[in-house]
Amino acid sequence: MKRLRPMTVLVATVAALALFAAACGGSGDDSSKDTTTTAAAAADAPTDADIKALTATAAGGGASFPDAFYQAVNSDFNGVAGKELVTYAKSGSSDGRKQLADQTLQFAGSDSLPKPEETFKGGEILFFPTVAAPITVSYNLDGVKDLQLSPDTLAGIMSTEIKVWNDPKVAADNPDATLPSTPIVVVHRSDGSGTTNNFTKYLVAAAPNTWKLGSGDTVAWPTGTQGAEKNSGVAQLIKQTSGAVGYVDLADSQKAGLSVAAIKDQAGDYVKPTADGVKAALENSEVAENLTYNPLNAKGEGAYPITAPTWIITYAKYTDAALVSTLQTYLRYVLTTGQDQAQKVGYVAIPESLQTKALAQVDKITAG
Amino acid sequence: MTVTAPADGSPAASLLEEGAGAGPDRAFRTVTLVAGTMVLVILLLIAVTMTVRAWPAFSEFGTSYFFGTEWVPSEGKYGILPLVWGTVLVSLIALVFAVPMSVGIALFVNELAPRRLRRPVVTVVDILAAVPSVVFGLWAFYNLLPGFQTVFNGIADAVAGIPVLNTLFGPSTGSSFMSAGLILALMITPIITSVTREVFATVPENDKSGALALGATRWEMVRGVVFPHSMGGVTGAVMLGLGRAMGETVAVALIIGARPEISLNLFGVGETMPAQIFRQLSEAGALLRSALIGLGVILLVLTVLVNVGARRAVVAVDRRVKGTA
Amino acid sequence: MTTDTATGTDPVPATRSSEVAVALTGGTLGAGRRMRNTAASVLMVLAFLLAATPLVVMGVQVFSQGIDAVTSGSWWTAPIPETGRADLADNEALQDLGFGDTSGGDSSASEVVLGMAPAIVGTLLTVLGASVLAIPLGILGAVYLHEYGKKGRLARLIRFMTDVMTGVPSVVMGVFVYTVWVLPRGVDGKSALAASLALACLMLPIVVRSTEEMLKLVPDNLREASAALGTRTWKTTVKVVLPAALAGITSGSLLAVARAAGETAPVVFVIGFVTTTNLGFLGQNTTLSAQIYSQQQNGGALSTELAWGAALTLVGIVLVLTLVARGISRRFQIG
Repeated sequence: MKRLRPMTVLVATVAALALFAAACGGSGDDSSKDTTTTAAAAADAPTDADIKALTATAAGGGASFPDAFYQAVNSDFNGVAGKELVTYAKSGSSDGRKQLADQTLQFAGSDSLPKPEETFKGGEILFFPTVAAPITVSYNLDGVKDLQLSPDTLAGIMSTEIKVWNDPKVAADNPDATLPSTPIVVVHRSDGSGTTNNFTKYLVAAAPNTWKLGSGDTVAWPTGTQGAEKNSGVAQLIKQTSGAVGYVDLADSQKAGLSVAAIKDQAGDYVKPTADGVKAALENSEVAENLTYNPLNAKGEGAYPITAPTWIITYAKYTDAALVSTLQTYLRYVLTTGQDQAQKVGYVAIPESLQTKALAQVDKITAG
Repeated sequence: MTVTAPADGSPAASLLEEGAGAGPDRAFRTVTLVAGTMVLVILLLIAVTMTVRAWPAFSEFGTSYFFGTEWVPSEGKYGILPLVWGTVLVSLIALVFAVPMSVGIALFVNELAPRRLRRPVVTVVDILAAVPSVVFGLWAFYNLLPGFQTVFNGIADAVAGIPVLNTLFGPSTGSSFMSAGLILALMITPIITSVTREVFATVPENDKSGALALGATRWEMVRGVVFPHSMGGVTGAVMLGLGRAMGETVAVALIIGARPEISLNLFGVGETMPAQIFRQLSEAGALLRSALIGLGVILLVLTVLVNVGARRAVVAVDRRVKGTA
Repeated sequence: MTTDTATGTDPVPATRSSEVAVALTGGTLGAGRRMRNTAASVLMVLAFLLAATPLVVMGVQVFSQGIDAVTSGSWWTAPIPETGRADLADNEALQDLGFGDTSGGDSSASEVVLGMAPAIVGTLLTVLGASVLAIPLGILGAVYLHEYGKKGRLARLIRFMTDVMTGVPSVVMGVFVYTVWVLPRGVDGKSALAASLALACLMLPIVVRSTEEMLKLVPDNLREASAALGTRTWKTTVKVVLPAALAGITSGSLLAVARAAGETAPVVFVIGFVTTTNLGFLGQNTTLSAQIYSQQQNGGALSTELAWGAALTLVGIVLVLTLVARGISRRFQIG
């Protein structure tokens, strides 16, 4: 690839020109269909020609939480390109950030923010929010379909203080259900995970008196719990283990056909992880300057309390201009056309105001 | 074959033609020597680079690394004993099941089976050896885990009141030391079987027919002649199996539970050194990476020791046989 | 007795003489001794069945769960599909929660073309690379051990270390290549080549040892005859010894190849991730073993089908290699 540099630069220039032309064309059309805000976003959407003109491949990976969404979008994106331009290998948020830091990946997916001590070889990094989704409390318990859990009960279960399903605390949350005496098997992530980070952050916020294990990409789970890799691994293991419960993204939970619990929100209502519940949570969270935000334990009515964000993290500078145009085009695609794929696979598009900010930030990725 | 032969002339002619040159011979010898030494070079390279990379962990944590009883990297606890425990325990469980099975199969093939049954039986064992680790893992995960959970919990309930047994056979989630050990037993049976067969085949025929002529049953002949003669060799075979079991990664990783714990509950969850390396290596920060490579070094040392022991035992048998023959 | 039982693996006379002995003495056995003998025999058969039964069950399950994917026509040629949308397309629980395909009956999403071509190509590529690196080196190394080094100190050391290296866990080879090859090169380091390096480390000692065993079987009078014609050792080796041992060496190398093809742990760190075919040694790639692992981790009906299909394909490839190797070595032994 390095031998081709002059060539790739040339192609990148052509691509950039094409992009510019497309942008001009787009803005010309605006007046005709600016009645909806998605039309504004569509102006930023790369055309098929833009995508076909790209030459450099971009290797990404990390968070497994948004994996189903990225795989769907990448399949479409690479399909338009006619070649595999962008790859995403789920490996956990910590892994993604670490590989971006080591430059063994060119972009990372992460549901959690880097810790202060994490340093990145390639310098400044940028956060691009892509979608949001509920972290479900998924379980495998014969005969119990509509489990309801308060934050305190959930924290008690996850810290193994509550050991059987017919514990009085679980029963108190589920007055109508007949609970079996099956022992509870807690399944957690064994790899460093943004899902763990967000889930434990939620427990810290919502059940401070019961949850004593703190929060982070990994936490010191008590003896007797069980680990699995990535969200899909947790979902698979719950499916294979009777009495098991764990925290998983909705896509993986439903691929495994698991039941999901309704969680008590701050108003005292039990909320299922619905699309509307996630949207309500997003509307009630504030976005910081660097486009990070925290929708956990949101206050609004009907908001699903364990709603998690996820980001694509890139460097602000890359040496390869062709790579920069691939990343920019890809991010624009994810933030416009790609958003339509979110709901199909269990995610919710980010609010339009956030889309606009993220799209504006795409230009900050530069070559040099 | 990569050999360059002169295009013209028959082999015999070309042999005579250039056969006298000492230069090519020296060159060829050097080439083969270099190739032969590559094994040493690579092994040395593996040992040295990995030790260098692991050094930060060794020096940073010192004894708390080697003798620490908690492996919780997120909290800065890098004690490898739970992982060593898991590796050893799982390998021992595997041996407990695999050794009798392998010795039985070896006896079956060498002493009992009719001649036309031997080749099919050996083929079956060879096929078992050929199945990739990840396929064992896939199969065990989907087809055995739920059954393991039911059976193990049934046993746990049955022995619940009996001291010692209720510690060893506690409640289970399916994923466990025992699950991994059972799958490993299947995976190491072929290697133990094949070495054991070779060892049994070295038992002098005269001794065996002598025992039978004295009126011994086949089993008495096996006990009285084959076993005493093969002890060392079988020990070698067992250690080879142990070495293989300690290094198995993917199949174990899928069904052990990913929980580094020093627990006596064989039906409980655990973790092994290779599985932990496999899970964490690429996501690890500098210190954890160094600690994981350190695990690789320890695994290397342990398997090398076990294999050296195994080879010694097998070689000793070889020598004795050749000495008496 | 003329059979050399120290090297032979088929001690035929044992059975014959034992049968004779049993026939001669059978009448005078006490009930206890006879029972113990029978029990031991039953246990031996049982041991075999204990190993064979799981193998058969596993074989049947891998076959039955993988055969649909493998025979789907597109399997050997199509890229690895994205399965998430199709797996979730008709998921009622998801739709009840307000997710799912809200655009209406777009059935095209649920039509997934099952394919595994990239992983099949990747497996062949990595194994080819590893073979090119390890087999010539291994054969030459074995030639040194048997034709030059013989019982010398260095040869003994190499022989010993080769045995030791055979026992080094494959995951350690993966860690080694990851730290010395992938990390310094960054994203460009992940490739079929890196996987080939790890697998070559694994194959090398196996090839050395099996080749040396085969060289031992070449009768010395062949070497002496060649030497008597005034031929140098190198030429004798190249023209006489190696051709004579060719079948055995091929068989041993094939077994090493089969072993490498099935490895997962050393490959997963260093190969990267793709869903389309990459015919080059550079650039990210994938293998069947890596796909079995990652599709298993994916969950969902289609991914699981892909995992089983990949498992059946891999087992098929490994079995063919193993059986061909056995066939060759069997012919070699007889001839």
